[in-house]
Amino acid sequence: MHPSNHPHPPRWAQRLLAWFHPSETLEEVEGDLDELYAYWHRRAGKTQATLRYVLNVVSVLPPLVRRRSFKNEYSQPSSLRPDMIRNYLKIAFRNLLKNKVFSLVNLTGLVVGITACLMILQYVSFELSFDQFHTDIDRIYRVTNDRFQQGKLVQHGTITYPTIGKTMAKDYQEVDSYTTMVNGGTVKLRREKSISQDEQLFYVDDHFLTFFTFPLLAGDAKTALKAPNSMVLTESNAKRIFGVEPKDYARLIGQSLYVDLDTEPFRITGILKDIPATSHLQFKTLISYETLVRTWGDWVKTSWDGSDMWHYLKLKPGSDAAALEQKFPAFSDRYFQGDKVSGSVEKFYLQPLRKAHLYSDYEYEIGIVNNGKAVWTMLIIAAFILLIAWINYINLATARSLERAKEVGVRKVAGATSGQLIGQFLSESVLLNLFALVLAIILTVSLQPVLNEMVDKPLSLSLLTGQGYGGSAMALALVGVFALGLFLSGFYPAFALSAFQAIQVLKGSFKRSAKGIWVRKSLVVFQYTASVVLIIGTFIVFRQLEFMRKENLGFNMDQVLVVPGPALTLWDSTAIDRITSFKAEVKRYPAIQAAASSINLFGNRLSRTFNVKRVGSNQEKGVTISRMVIDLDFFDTYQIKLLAGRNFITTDSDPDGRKVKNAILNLSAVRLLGLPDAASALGQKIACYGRDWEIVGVVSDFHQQSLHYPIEPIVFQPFYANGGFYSFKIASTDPEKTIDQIEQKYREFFPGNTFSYSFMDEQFNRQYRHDQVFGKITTFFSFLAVLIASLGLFGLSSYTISQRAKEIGVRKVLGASVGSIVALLSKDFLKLVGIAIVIAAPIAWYAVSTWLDDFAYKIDLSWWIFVVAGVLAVGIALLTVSFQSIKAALMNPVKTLRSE
Amino acid sequence: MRRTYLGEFEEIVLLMVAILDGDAYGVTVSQEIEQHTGRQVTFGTVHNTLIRLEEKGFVTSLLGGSTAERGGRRKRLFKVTALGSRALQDIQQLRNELWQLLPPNTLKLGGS
Repeated sequence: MHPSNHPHPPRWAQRLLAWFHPSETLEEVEGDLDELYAYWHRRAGKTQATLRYVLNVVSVLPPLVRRRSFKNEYSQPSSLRPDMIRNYLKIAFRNLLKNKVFSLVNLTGLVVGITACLMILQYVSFELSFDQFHTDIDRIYRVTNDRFQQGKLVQHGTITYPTIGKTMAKDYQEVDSYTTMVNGGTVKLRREKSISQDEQLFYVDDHFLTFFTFPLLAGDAKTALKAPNSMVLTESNAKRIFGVEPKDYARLIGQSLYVDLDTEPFRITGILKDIPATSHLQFKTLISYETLVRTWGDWVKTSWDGSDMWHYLKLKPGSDAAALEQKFPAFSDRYFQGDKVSGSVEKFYLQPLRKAHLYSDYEYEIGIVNNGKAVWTMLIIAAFILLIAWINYINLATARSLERAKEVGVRKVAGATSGQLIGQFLSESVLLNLFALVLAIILTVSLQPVLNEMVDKPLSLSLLTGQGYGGSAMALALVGVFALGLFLSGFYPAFALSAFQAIQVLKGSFKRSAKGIWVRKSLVVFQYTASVVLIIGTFIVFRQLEFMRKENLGFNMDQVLVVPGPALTLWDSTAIDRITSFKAEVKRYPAIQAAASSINLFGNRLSRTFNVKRVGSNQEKGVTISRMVIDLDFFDTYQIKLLAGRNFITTDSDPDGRKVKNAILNLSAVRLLGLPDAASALGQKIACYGRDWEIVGVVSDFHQQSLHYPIEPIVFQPFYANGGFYSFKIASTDPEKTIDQIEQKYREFFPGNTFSYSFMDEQFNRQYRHDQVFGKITTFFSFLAVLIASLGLFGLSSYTISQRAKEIGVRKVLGASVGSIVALLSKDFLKLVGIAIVIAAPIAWYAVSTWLDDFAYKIDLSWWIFVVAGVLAVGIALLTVSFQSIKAALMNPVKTLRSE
Repeated sequence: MRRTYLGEFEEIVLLMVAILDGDAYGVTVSQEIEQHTGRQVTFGTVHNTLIRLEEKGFVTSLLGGSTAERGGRRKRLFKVTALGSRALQDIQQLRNELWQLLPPNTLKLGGS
């Protein structure tokens, strides 16, 4: 072409065009503009052409130019189109079916994990939801009271003096209202001939019903408990006693009921809705506080040194409880003047109602308490189990990457984008997880009765869907957690798998990346760490439970039958004789080796007396000693050793209690009183309960309560009462017959009373029921965690080993022994378990020592427990892996090698 | 049936593509418009309009073979689609109908 015929547009304008014009249309536009330039050049000359060229270039530069939307020549469906999703699900389903063992291992892990998690969460939700039904829960506080003598804490209680609530409400304008209550113990309600079961009774003031949210179905909450001898019953109680329908509750108002032996009737003034299981205060009957003024005297309203009252304060909205607490030292100074008024220095605190159930370590607790630490531990276990299950999924999914790599390569070559591959793998995980969730829910529902019996709580799934802690927010949170876990556990494999380079995979030079192995190994380490911690924890919990069961308590409670005394028999001057002859009559049966009566038994908090002084000592301040009321056969029945002096004798007791003045001490009490040994206490006198008592004997120390509590100094007094307990040491043969014999005599001696019995050891060990439930639950769920982790290891090892089938074949051909191959294959996994044990040991050590801190008497954390747990973990891992590795090692190398 | 709106310039460009009958691309369309209407339009306007027409489905395009005269660069050739020709016919028909409705003397009186 001739140069003059081929003019050039300015280069800078061409370059401008090339830089800025969208690349999709650059070629055609450059060509078009060149052509136009030539045309203009021919028609109007160079200057015109250049000018127009530049102008037109500008017209096709951004932002003036319209971008041509990129259109692929093949249609690229979105990952979220229904067709694609259907395809994903179909492929996912086929994949799950294709690898049945893996799907099963995976599914089992997930189902077990989710089920365990759902169960534990129900329990946790139940425990955390205590007292939430009170509308003003955030403003309600309980007054707690610490008492100090000579700088030493002698009582850390929820009970305090009757005047406290009233006075605080009067003195502090932050207090909106208060309520005061007294524990009436268990009573029987009588209506004409019929007598009810033992019912928990509280004496409460007239604010109680408006203070708390315990709604009345009949009666007026404001006035129901004003008058003396007013009584409020719960709905189920009313139904049982009167056999009425809900519509007739109003008719019960004004009806009479009798309590125990009282001859004066109580007037029903209200019917309460049943107390929710999640109330820390559990009762069946309320009686007005004014009644107590009549029977116990005025002190229940005015005393500053007699204490058996619980006080709750409701603060005004916006008041600061901590600031109010700051004012309590001044309160103590004002009313108690150091220890001048009550014999001890009083400190008062406010405990939020929210903490009354789970975070209460107080003595003389009125409500149901549980160990908050145990509950949170459960939650952590639940989280770990779920985590382990998901990790399993990640592990197994990525372990199969070699197999899936080819699939990914082919898909990519066929035009799949990473997005679509991620969709593919995610839908597999979603499918498996949802299936597992459905199975887990079915399993949870069908195992519900077993669980409820195990933990002895009315649990249900509804606790997680709005009925329990956090209401429906809890349900949302759970769905969120599940969705997140599902997403994350699906995402890692999805990304890892979809990131493969198609060309590498198909060329066959694909190797598993070191990073992928590292991730999987750390996941296995994590799983095993959690498992080892749980194994060690279970060991310790069991050793402690065992220790508590086996520990010498200082008394022998084997084969001791306990029968509650005849509460409905009136006390008179012949009562002691009747009790003595009843015991004598029963003892005539050969199966009965000993019989004793006492007011107190082991396992319950004893009442205390403050300000006990040794007569004639130079002790200025009194000490605090607990009290046990027993008869002369008590020490023999329980085989408590007498260290010095004598046991009680018949003449120590008297129908007129005022004449009783001999007492026995335990060794702790002797030491507390500043005496060097048991013998030196004999003949000494102590001043308490308003008179002097002569010490006639000293017995050895024993655990009056569970090993959660220290041994207390105790003074024993020889009183009798009808409402106490009989203890019978019986022969182990044919206990039914013996019990029948005792019952016969009981009815003979105490007509009109109901006979019931229990065994002392069972009753005592009931103190450990929370610990036992905790033990059972940790064992069960540790087992599950180990199971899931083993499933994971099983899947992982079988996969890794199948990948090395050729290598094993070659080794065998070259003469490797079965043992060496098994060792080779197991080594890798055992290394991981070893690392897990090293990490787990300190964590477990910290966790179990925190748990053991709650016991006054506990086992030592010996190193061998950790060793045993470690060996166990290694053993389980070895067992899991060796199944696969032995199979691989025994395989005929011809089979694996001929395929190439 | 709701018709896609066709602007005045779009209509002209679409007509030009139809007139050029297979030989329509940026240059020819620009030149034809300039020659037939006397309007000086920038190339960008034509380019954008063609893209827009294609998005609306009135034309389709294909990259043609390379020619030496453009330094080997390919042309994008445009063709009217069935939808495009239908749209043009609809417009034509509508105009005819409207003209039929015109009272005989209106334009003569007002326009002269």
